[in-house]
Amino acid sequence: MNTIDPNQHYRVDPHARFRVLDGEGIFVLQKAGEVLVVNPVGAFIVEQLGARLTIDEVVTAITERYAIDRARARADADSLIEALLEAGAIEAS
Amino acid sequence: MSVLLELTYACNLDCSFCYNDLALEGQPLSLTQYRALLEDLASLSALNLTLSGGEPLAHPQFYEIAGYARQLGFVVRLKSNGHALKENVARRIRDEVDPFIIEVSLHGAKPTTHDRQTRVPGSFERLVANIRTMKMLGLRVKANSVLTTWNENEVEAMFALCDSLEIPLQIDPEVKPRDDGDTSPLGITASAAGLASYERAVARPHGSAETYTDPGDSRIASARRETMNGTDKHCGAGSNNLTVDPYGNVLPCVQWRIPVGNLHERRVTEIWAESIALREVRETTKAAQRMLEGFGDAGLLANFCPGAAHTYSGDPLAIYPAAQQRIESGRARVRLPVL
Repeated sequence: MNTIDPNQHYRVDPHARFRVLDGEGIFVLQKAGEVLVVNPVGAFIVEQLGARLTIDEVVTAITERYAIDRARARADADSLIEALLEAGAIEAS
Repeated sequence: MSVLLELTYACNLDCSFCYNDLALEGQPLSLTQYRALLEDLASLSALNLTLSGGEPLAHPQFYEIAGYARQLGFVVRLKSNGHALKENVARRIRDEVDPFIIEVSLHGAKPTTHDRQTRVPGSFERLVANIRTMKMLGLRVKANSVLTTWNENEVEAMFALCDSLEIPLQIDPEVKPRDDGDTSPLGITASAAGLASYERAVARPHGSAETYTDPGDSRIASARRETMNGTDKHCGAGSNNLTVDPYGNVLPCVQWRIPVGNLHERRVTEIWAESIALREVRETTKAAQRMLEGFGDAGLLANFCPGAAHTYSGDPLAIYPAAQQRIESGRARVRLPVL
């Protein structure tokens, strides 16, 4: 079951910083003083969120780029977004 | 890539061993140029951005530059003497810049020692008060110091002071020449006894200094080290680090004061990709690595800095006195087990 609203927008938390380095995405969580590294697919997802795409649109972008089925893309995107929300790396906008 | 911007050499203190080349002349970068620079650095995936000086808060457009850096997603570090960081200023920095950390300069554990260095009476008490205020506002603060003959008997007390303020303290045991090559600051280099005292002090656990971690740096540093290992570079000067002085001179790092381009003439993206001088710096860091390997294990203990070598002699591969001393000391330690 999907737990993330497909029409929701997310953005990098104002206290976090994000850069893509050598394909990987790096969050610096300034309040916690921690670094979070996401793999290239995760970095792609965060970049799409930064481009103001909804979750539904991000899932479409994933399927187009990585040639995987929509259900798997949606489940993986939801999972990543939940983890990033819990870590304080992104927030709903 | 980590970038350090020296916004201005103006300062509200008068430190006796200030390393800045205060006689350096040039056209300061405009706000428009700083904006373009930050945009270019973001496009180069630079993440860590340190704002330094002089005293960076003395730059008339500090908040515009620092705020734009925040907007572009840089992890901003502020290196300040701490003198101006009263509550209203600290609050504004927190709200408009949201820095990862503010690093302040501590020169002793007593007002007489600290103020002797800053040559501004009352600067110690004001710094301590400002640190307390910054902590109260939720800002992350760290103290930096340089070991000298003036403070070498206060190292333990400095750690105790920082523990009581709940901030980490980092002490550089080596006084270096000024950026113009003037070696007069070396006159207050710590004594052998002071250095030994310092080594004992840093080996002991210290409250917040012991538990403090800086993941924003360490993970990146780790990645950088892996990259450098792959390219046989001794350090990241010109490869992972750049420094920009107030007049637009682009330098390989804060210590290596050899311009590899100027932002009044070229954008940093062009300098990064095309500068012949920068390529030479990168090659020199490889040569430094090979040179130090020649010293065996002792070379690893040299803490050799090509930038410091360049400042001492103009030759980034020449062993300078402090590095030589560490190599000799390292050789003695390496020999010890077979005696």
